[in-house]
Amino acid sequence: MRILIVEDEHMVAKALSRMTREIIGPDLRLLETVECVSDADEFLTDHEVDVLMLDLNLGGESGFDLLAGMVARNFQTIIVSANTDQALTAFEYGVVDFVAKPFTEERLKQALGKLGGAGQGNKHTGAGKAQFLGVRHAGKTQLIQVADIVRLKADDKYCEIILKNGSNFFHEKSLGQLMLLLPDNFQRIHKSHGVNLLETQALKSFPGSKYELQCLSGEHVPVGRSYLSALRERVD
Amino acid sequence: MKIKHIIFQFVFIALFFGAMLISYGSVSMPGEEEFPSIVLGDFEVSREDKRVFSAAPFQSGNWVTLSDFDYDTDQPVNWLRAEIDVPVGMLEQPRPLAITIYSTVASVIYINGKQVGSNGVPSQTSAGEQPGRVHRIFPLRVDALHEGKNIISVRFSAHGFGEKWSFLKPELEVVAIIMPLEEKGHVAFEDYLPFLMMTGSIFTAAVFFLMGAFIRRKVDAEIWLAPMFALAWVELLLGILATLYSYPYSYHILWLYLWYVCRIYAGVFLFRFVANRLDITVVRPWAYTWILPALLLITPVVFNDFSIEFGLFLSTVLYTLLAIIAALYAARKKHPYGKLVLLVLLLFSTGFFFEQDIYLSNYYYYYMSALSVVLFVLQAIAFEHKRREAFEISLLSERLELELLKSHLQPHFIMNTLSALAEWIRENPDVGVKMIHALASEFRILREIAGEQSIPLFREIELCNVHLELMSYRKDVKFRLETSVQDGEALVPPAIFHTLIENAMTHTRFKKDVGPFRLEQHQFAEGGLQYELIAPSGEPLKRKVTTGGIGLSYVRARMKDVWGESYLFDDGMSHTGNWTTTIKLETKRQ
Repeated sequence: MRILIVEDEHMVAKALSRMTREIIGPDLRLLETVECVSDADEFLTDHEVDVLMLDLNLGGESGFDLLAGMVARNFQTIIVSANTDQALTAFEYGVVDFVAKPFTEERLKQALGKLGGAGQGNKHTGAGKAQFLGVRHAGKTQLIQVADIVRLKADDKYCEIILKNGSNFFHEKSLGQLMLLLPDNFQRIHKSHGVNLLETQALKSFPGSKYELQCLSGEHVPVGRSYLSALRERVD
Repeated sequence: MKIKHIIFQFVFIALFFGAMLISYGSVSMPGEEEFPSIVLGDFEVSREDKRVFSAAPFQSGNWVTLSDFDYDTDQPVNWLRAEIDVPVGMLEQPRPLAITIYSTVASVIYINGKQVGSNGVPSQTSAGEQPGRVHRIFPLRVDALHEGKNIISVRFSAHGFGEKWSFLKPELEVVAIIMPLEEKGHVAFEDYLPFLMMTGSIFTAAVFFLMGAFIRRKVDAEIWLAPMFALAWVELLLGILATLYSYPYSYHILWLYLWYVCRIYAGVFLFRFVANRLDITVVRPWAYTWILPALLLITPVVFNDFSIEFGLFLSTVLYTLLAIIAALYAARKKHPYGKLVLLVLLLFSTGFFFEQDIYLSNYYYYYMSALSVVLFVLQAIAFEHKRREAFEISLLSERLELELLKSHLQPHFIMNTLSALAEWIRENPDVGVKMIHALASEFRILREIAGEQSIPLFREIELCNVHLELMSYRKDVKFRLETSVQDGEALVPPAIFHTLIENAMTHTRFKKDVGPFRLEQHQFAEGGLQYELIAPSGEPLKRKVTTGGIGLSYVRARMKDVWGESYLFDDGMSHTGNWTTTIKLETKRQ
């Protein structure tokens, strides 16, 4: 696992590094600490990371402006902040977890655990609280309403997002990563497909145990065999 | 602000003119113009005492004009005579006529050779004279007058001149007016009613400005208005006294002198009010307050030819002029009220250019009365303004106290501190203990000073030191404060340097080997004081600051609360690359 810490409080950064090292152990391939967002941007141009640990209040800088930019990237974000009153908003922006300062090693372990465990196994339902998704479009970050999303389609390591109005966006996160952020009305129904259940109409079966989920828009999305039983539980 | 100012001035001028119009409209002078009258200058005088003068034709006898006449106790009984023109139609009225005499002599009055009355008894000897009253009314017989020219002659003596108030030379005065008897009685009431009203408003003004200062327990410019209006009120009382009570003429010179004293000091107070209101430091105030009035008061005593009525004129003009000069000076110096006061003073003296005699004895009080009304209104506005200001200040100081305490209860401060503390306890418990003590000290000091308006500088330095110690543990960088201070007791608003240090930390990244913060205090010989806070050099953080500025607005609000407008604040990067904040105080306020 590759982790970048953005924290301007020296002792806090020190504690985060120490605990992260202890929690992840030999799987930790990269751990870097920077003090501000511009340094983080610089680092990210040359390095790939899996997790960003971010302080929302970096000495006068507003956290949400940079958060919108960060959550559009291909890594997951964990907020480590003193301002717990911003937690709800942070989740809406699509962060995996919000760790309040001062924190314990157990709490940090729990946050990091979400990344490794979820999205695999039988859990195919959205596990997050995101209300918006930041997408990078023409070099700028744009926020789209999660409620406007009809379905998601995996495209290599990226993900295509199809909206109600027919427009589509590419997100740098994988389908699996996005399912961690999206709320539970999102369901993964195929290795390469996820849908917003609120935007679906009917589950249709075809000869040869083939199933398709019909969307309100009229589109048909294939349902993977191993995803069928979980989907049935949700739609019946 | 500008518009408000203009509207304010407009309202002010409208008020002034309104008050003036009301005064003019309700007052008309006793009918000198409407009724036949003669004044002293119209008379000729003869030093001979011949009874035939009463009936003699106008051309006969040895008469001189009054300007050549000098009253002489060796030749005590003299005659005056003049022609008075009775218009056609006046005699046809059914109402009986009367002659009113204002005089400072003992006299017998004749019209066309017939005696119409005596005011006292003129005599060759002082003991034989019975003094006349200052005004008398004698009813006239139907046949006393005829249409056209009539001769009024007056046999008089004035022994009282040299006796009672011998240090003053009295002024000979004889005025005669012919008017209907009942008209006189009626006019008197109507004439003096406005005077009574003016007396009321001027008296109220005197009490108002005196009590105002008393209640506020503060002596400001308005305190001078109290004696000014009080003296104008005394003048009016003297006038009313003379109208209601016709005292013996020998008292008249004292009456006149009292009037003179009042007028001079009303002028002194007007000048002092204007100067104080416009923040003009009067050079040698004793000269205007004591020497000049003393000179004015002594002049009629030393120089017997100096008329007190001229003195009244002189002193009124002199002090109004001084006040106008003061206002002119303030207006040129761009004092906010300079033009306004100048305008009022000019309006105040406009009447003077129309009719000087009437200005001194009448218009002067209308202006005083109008001024009192205008000042009431202004004062009411000022009180309301001050009340609101005081309320806002109390709100402000509560808000500032809260803001300071809140900044330390903010999660960013407290949670980061606790997170760092947790790590220190793990890593090095000794440092953790020190950090707990630093945090406790900072909270203790903050709690003590947050509610204060200002604190001694050394206390502020103590706060900065303890904060820097805490931040050193938090950032694991050795911060410290060096000071160069002469007067540690100098008062500063609480936590301003502390806030400025915090600000510098937010906007700069300091390296491990950071230099010290420096706080320097410079005292100037002229009494000014300057503070300079120099941050150690570091790497400025290029970041979009959206939550910043709260610290600076706190510092500004605190400084304004204590120092008002008398400070200069400047911050910026110095040529050495250190963020430097300079606070310069014009005068050292303690």
